[in-house]
Amino acid sequence: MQAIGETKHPEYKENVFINCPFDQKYDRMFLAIVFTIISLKLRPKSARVRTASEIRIKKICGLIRDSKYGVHDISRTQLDKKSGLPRFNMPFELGLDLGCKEFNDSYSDKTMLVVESRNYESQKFLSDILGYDPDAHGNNAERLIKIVSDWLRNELENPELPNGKQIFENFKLFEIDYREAKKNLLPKRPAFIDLTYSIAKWIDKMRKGT
Amino acid sequence: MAMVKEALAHAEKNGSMMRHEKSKNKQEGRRWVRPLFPSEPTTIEKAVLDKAIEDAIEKRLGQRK
Repeated sequence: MQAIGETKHPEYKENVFINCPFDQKYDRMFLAIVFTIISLKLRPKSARVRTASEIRIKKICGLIRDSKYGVHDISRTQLDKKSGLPRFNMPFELGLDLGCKEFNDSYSDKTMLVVESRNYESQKFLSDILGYDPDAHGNNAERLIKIVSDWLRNELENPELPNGKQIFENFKLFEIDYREAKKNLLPKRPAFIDLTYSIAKWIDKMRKGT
Repeated sequence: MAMVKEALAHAEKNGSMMRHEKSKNKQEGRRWVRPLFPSEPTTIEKAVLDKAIEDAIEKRLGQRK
């Protein structure tokens, strides 16, 4: 673990930690977040990268520490059908990110975006979040892209970066191409590293006009 | 000893299933590169990804014309 005052990760200011559900129902929303981050020339970081040799919580803490930005979707806390218990991983990871920022002066520049599916929903189970004003995406990828890109463009203070509308138009085209590309690839749910590479490659090809 | 036999049978079964999957994938023209180490995330060769992305873009643009 990195001690207070030590040098930050060399790509700290470009890394964006994504804390969101990993189930298939959320796949399109996850893709939308990753696509937006890469479109804004930043680096998405996700615990979806699994390594057997590492304890999961250490992996998550490392990703949080290495990322200046954090996107937290805390909307998925409904009861599990089998166990009847709620899932708390996302609020827990948001807490870790907030703790890193609050208790370590070296990381006071950390900034995070909290989103939920419906307005004021999180206040019912996480009242301490009051003041963070989570944005509601309504499980709509276009809306989520707008929220994430507005926030990051504002943080980066770079008006030349594409806006939410432009990113969503590209995202729709990417989805078509990615669906086609996946027909001849395995596994059907590619590893995170392959997904980010594919997006970066696609954006690069489209910029160059193929 | 029984446990060892059971483990060997299990490994044999899984191995043959894997071979079956591989040959099925080959027939269907899919390509998959096995990770070097079990702990490494499954990674498709960059060249394969490049080609798949490029072909998909070209197909879409071709359809538009």
